[in-house]
Amino acid sequence: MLAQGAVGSALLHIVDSETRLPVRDVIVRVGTRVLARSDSLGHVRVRISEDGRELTLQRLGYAPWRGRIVPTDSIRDIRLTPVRYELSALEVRSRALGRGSALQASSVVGAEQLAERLAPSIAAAIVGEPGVSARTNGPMATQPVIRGLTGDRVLVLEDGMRTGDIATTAPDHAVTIDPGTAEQIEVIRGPGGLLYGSNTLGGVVNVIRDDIPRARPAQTTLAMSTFGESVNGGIGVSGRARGAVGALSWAVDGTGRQAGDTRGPNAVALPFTDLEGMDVGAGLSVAGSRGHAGVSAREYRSYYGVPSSFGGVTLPGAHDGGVYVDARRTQLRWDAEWRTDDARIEAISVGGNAVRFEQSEFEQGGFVGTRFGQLAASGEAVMRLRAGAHRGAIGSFVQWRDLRAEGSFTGTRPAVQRTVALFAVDEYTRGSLTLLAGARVDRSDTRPLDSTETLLLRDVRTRAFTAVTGAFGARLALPLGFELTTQVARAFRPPSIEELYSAGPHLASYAYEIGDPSLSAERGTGVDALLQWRGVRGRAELSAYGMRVDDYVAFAPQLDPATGAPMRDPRLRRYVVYRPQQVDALLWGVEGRAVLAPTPQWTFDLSGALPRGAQRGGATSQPLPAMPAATLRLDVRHQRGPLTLGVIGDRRFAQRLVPDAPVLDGLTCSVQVIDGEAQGLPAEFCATPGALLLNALVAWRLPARATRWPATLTLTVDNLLDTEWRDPLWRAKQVAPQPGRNVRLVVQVER
Amino acid sequence: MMRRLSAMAVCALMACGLTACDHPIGIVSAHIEAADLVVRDSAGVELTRTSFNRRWMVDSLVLRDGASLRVTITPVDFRGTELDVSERRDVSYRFDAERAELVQWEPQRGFGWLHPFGRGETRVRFLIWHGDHADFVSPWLRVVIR
Repeated sequence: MLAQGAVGSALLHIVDSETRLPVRDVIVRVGTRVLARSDSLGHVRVRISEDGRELTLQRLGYAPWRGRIVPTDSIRDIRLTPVRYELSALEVRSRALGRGSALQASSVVGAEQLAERLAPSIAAAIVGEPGVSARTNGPMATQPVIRGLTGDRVLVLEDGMRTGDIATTAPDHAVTIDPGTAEQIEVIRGPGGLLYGSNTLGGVVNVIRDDIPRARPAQTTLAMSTFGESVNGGIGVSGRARGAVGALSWAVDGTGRQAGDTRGPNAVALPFTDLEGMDVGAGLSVAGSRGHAGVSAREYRSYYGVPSSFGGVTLPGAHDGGVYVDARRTQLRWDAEWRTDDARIEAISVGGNAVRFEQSEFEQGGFVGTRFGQLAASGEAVMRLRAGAHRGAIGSFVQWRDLRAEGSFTGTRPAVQRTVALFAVDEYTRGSLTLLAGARVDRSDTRPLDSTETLLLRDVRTRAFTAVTGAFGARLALPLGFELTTQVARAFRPPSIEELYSAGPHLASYAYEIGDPSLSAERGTGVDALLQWRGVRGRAELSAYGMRVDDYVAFAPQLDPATGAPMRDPRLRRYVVYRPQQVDALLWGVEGRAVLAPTPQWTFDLSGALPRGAQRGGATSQPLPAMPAATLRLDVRHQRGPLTLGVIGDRRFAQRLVPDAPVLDGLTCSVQVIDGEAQGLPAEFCATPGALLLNALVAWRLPARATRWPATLTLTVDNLLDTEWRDPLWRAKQVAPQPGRNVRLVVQVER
Repeated sequence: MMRRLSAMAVCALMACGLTACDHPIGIVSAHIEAADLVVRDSAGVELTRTSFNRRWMVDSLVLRDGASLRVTITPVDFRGTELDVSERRDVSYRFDAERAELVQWEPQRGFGWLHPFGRGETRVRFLIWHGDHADFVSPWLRVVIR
């Protein structure tokens, strides 16, 4: 924290200009360098040279403060002005460009919003951000969907690194990150996330924990929260602490949660939706003005159900008795950055992680139907450069993973995947114009560890893919607070291990999946246009996008050439055989958000998205399966002193754009019981009705003088009217509705 | 003191990571990808076989009461190539009978005995058992004991 040549210091006391309450976690920066953060009393000490320094203070929900601070023995009071209309006071960051960059549509969910939502999964924590929805298979097995793309097409990162789990491989797999103690979650929409990886056709979700401190905390801080909710009897607790001992900075955090079966409207429970979860981590670093170096370790465990029946009706294709998934992830991460005084080299940054992951899936009777194991490691090295109006970076990335599976119900073949990438990016600013250009070269190979051939899986062999991707964008500042950004980007995704080599049942998909080792890589070319406005009383953004994906991979049912009937699996004779097919796809849509604060007490937050997707070519154009519906959301807040009242209206439009259903034994979207088994078309072929949901919120901030520890009580009621509604991406939507009314109480304390 | 403490803490974190470096599934044990099953007698004469594992090529297998039958069971892949699983310690043949009091299976290395215990009729099926699960389950085969 001590700047070179420092001769003095200043103790800042940062308070809210309206409530006079201290503001914690305010980031104090000099340029792009983070010097320190304020503690729970709003105090932060900065060491500065005799002639003072220009500092920037930033905190989500407050207007940035900029000013010159000189050394002083007295406490310097600084008042931050709350600006509830801020869309994202914190900026997306990357190892390559530091904070701010990437000319892409993005949003940031801050710690306060995460605490308010307290979702059990990353996807549930960011649903509601423009263009973001979730694919669910129970409350834990949810995955983020960005602009209609999910799975391997959306890159989920933790502090910029791969998670090393298998969440993208199946709809019943959870993203093994608990959002309970995240500092913020960044969502970047659309392709062109070449700073993060090549397979970012849908976008990037980056969970920031900072469990390796990048700046030395001025004093020990502690934040804890606990919650309880009615819809599933869920309870949970999370805590986070930071501090420093001598030169060593430390951070620890942990979350534990437990919930029973989720109840739908009219309190009917959906069996096998109970869950338990735990995520703990600790990190150490040496941090100073020249940079930081540190390591962290993290352990994640979850045990959750995958639903199989509702109201006595077994979900189509699901096996009786449900499935319980026991997932465990152990991670070691290291990170270092050295900031130089060199005129051209701003910083050199390296980081990496090693992950051990295992997952057991328990069938009825308690035996393990499928067991997955994976070792994964990834690393990144980046040199940030600057020259005049240019700032940029060159970097390299490596990844290795060894995925294995065993058990009677596994269709996943073991394989080893390696990826090497080089990338370069340059941002040039001149006046009101900023240009960004970047390129990335990826080389990826996938080697099967079991190359046994079957009737349908032939020519099992190692596949290698090389691709050059890139992005070019421009941002132009316009009068009256407007800003126009456009970007053209190209992304690429090699086929996954499952798409190449699967040969077996995939119970969560209610299918028997057989891969195709001859698949090509998906290649996407996207165009984004983003219009933003920032004014005294509000902020707005509107983005439109279009993306063409060549060789889009989608699993489709196979028909028996002899009979024309759906081909049944050769092992269990129960499931329809699905194989990957490649078509060209087109995705387009608009997203927008407007936040207006006509008075300091009132805030109106309106957001919406209209995603569309279709297959290209051929005689007829078909909608892509499992596309989210259009959404419109209005969040109205009224703040009076420490009390905040909120009402949220959430309109989920009907999704009638579904592909023509294949001929599957005359099945329809209405679930019928045939020979004792519930049968119906897969959910992606069925339309979904719309719904209007109402939520309410009351938050009360207790001042420190009343409780010694500043505390916030938040009471939220989701689905206030207990409306029955269906989610287009819920795999059991024909049978089971979404959760009914949920009352949640959250208590947060900090010190 | 602080340096020592820091070094110990870093070593502890590294140790946590290193202990996690063993693969959860150390050995890949491939499934037996059998398409069909062939049943032969002790002389190597084919008694019956499955067709696309949907039905047996004979209506029934006839045994004589009190006369055990030595049979070999051979899986074949989709090309009709016989699969040799004799070296696979994690693979065995199992047997299901609807009326277990009529007929039993005694596995031996490379072959097995079908022991009839009384006159009557039942249905049996063969399983290729891999570790803790079946890689292959044959259709039911009618067995008549005279």
